[in-house]
Amino acid sequence: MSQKPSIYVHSITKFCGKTAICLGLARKFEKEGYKVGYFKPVGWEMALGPVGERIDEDAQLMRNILGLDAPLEAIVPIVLGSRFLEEGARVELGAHERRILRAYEAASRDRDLMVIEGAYNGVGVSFGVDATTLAKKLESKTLLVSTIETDASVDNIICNAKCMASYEVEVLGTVLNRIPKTDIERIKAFAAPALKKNGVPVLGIIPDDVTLRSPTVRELCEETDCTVLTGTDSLDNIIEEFLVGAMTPESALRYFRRSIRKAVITGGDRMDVQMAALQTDLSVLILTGNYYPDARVLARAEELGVPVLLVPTDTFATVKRMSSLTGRIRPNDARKIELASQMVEQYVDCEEILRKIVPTKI
Amino acid sequence: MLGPFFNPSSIAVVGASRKPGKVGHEVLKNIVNSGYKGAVYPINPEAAEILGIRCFPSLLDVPDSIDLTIVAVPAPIVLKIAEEAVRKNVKGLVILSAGFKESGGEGAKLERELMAICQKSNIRVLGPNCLGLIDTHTPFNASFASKMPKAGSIAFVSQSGALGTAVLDWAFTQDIGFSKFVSLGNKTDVNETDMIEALVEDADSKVVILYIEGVTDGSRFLKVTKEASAKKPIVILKSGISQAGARAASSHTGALAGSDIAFNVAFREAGVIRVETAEELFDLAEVLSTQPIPKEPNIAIVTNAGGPGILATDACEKYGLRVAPMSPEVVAKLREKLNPASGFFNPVDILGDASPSQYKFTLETVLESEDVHGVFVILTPQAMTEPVETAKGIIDVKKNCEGKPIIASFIGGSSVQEAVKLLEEAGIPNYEFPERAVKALSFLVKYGKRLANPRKEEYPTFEADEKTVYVILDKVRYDERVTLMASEASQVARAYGIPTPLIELATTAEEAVKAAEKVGFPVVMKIESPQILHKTDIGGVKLGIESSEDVRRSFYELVGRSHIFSPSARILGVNIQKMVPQGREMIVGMSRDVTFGPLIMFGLGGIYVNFLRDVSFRLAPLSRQSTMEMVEETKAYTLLRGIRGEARSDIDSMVDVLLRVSKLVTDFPEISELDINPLFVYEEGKGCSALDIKITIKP
Repeated sequence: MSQKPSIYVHSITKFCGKTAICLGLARKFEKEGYKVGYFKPVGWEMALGPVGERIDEDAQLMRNILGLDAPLEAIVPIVLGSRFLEEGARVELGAHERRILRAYEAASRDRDLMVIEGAYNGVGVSFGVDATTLAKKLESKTLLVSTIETDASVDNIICNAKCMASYEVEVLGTVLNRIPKTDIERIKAFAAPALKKNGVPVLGIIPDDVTLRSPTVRELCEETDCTVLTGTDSLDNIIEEFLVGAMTPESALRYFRRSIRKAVITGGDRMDVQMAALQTDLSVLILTGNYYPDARVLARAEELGVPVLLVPTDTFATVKRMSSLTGRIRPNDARKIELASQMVEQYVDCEEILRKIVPTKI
Repeated sequence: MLGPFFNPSSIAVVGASRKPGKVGHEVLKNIVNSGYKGAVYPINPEAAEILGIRCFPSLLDVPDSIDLTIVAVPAPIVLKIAEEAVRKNVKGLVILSAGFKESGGEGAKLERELMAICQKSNIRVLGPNCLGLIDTHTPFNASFASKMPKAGSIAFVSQSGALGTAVLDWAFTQDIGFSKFVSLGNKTDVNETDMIEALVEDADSKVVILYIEGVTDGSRFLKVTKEASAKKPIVILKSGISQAGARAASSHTGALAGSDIAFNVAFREAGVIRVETAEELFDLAEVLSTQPIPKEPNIAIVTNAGGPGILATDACEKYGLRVAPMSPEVVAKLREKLNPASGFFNPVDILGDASPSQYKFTLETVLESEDVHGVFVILTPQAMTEPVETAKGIIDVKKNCEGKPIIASFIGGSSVQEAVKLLEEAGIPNYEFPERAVKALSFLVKYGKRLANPRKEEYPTFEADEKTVYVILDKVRYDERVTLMASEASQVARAYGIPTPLIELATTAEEAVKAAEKVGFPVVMKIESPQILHKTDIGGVKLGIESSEDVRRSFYELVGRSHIFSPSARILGVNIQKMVPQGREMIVGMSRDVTFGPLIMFGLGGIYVNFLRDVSFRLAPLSRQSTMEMVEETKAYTLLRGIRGEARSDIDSMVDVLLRVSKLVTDFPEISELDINPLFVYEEGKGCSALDIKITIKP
């Protein structure tokens, strides 16, 4: 049975923005007039649902944004947990593959073309549901997505491509994501030619955007046990950096001036540090130790539209917790969604991709 | 401009109350009891008369015009009263009510609304959350201080109402008289600068003293106070010097505790006499309001006890006063009438049994001398001493000595009490112990010196390429950064004529080679990465690179080292600059103070800078004079002038750099921090070179 035209988006590095790219591609294809479907054969446990079921939130996000009718199980038929080998020890060989193919049938039924999101790198190979195998079965063409840490990343992309090619899976090319603006020239000069020479044309270089990468105050609130004291209207502020306020008031101002779109974490009793922070560009003020601040700090923060959060943990624990949060796109974060789509449209050669997967386009 | 506050022809009290103990009652009572001769209108919709005065239901019901209105009603009602006051064309509003900005978000909102109402007219507002004001000459007491202070010539303005009233109460025990007392409260409209401006023109006030915790409008304060301090002495006690104190002040006023260094510099430039304790504030106030300013710092000490005389002499040296020996003529004259065992030189010790006439004679004789510009009289109560008669004698002498201050220290308790009272009443300040007296006198002398030597400031002009700086700062903002890269900072500095090597940023090894060939060998290569702050520590700097091959190899070495030590750091490239010879390392910095603007620092640089702290500060814009002064204040200046056979450094070019930095930060208020460390200063005639420039801007 012939499958619908599809693009299999496969990631080489972690946190390379694969979901955002799927989103951007899907949106672009929709604009071109196609009914676009989305499928994630092998998901990963990111959250637990109401009855303890595993949920892949990225897939859930895509389903919501694209407004797909198919149930989530059809869109992401397999969700692996961290001990998937142990759990899957009693699973019959081939069972996962069958399930995936059945679900894909349902997911792609009324769609013109499919955007398929792969799992990270080689995940699934022990059950025979790795990207190479599935791309072949689903008759997809592959797009490799990667960030560039060092030039070693380039070699990894080429290696993956060669591997897929040896299994007769067509690799359309690669999209390099989250590239710092200052590195783009260098990438174009050295990495792109090396990739092309090895059969992996660069179909897009997406610059690093701090908005997409950084958490918002809202995300911070959702992930931690905090109380919003003021600024409920400004929870979409982006946090690029976390600074700790533990110094003398004179040093504080100099220190805070050097960063923008930052969170300042300090004790609730440090009014001097709080007022210094409020003198600079501030996304959020986080007060630790459950120490309720002076009313005038809240008044000033309100005047400036800066949210103030109160957390029960001490400063060190708070910093640790918050720094580990990375920015994700939430279903209700319209701005990030719009931005992601725009960036794909602007920096990725979507027409070329379309041309390759739908050769009979009029 | 603050006329209605100080000379109102009519006062209304809104919230006047019949109940003793309530603010609205006490204030009304104070006004009445103070002897105020103008019209008084208690306002209270529930009373027909209070304290025998006809009461009105609202301001608008008063048939005549009202100059000043005191408001003592709860905060939410104040807004309505303000509206009525505006309609009634009241000229001044004194709001005693609390519950405004000092109490938090809701209160801050109320205060904003209050100002919006008042700004519609010319009405001036004192407070809110203040204790009121007192004028001892008009007279009236529109405050809730318990007593009317003695009339005098000291104007006292306090940001803390509580301190103010406590001081007034204490002042009674010291016999200190005031012309005016003002409690500023929240300073929502009238602030310390307004008061300084008004009180310096007040004929009843000879000196203006202030207790403040912050300054509202730094540049206006500087401008007004500089002019004012040339007319009358202005003494300020500003709290919050220590870190803990600064925090406490921040909590008290809800404002940001600005740098105390900036306040020190600002006060000095404005000609303010800054004191550090409440005791000094009033010691000074007394001497400044009663004594003439001496022409020179030569003091004669007249004492009937050797010990205190020595203490006084020590204190004089400590505080910069001269205790010069008496001239032979004076000594000869003294010998005629005094006991031969007396000390004749200075201190003049007229011995324990000195009589009132001997005191008087000594004082007169000593004051006749041209070499004596002020006298300090010490008395200790011996069995035969007559403090009261002695005091009378001193008072007589004072009547005839023009232009020479006399201060006294009658040391003791009950035996000198009456005498001290006589002295105070006659305008001769008395201090319990010699050191305090001398300290007070020294401030008088310093003030006099400053008045006598007004400095003419010269502000040099320079050609500068402002456009280049605009373009660079624009790009930084466009990139959503606040710190300039080394190459950008170098361009900005060069645009303003600050000597610094050109820095090129190379993102590849080939670019690095081209850049090195452009700037000329040998070069210095430094990694450019916003996340790597201490480049030398991680091997991110290479000096003395002589060839293109070396450049290429060093490029990869620097990038490699940076990756190893900071794997997550973003490496923007490598900076290439021409290597310059080593010079004397100085440091120049600027930090924009929240109150007073650009605070410039100069001092000895190098690796020990944080330890030695040989630095001086001034506020920009710098004049040539204040820049030289700043340089001369440091110990490093001695090194720069050349010691032990070393050549003199090019101080002129260094001063030029400071002046150009001052112009740069004045022209571009968005620059919030600037650091040049080190600034290499070479031998005289060979100029200087800024090696490492860091600039931070506002987003």
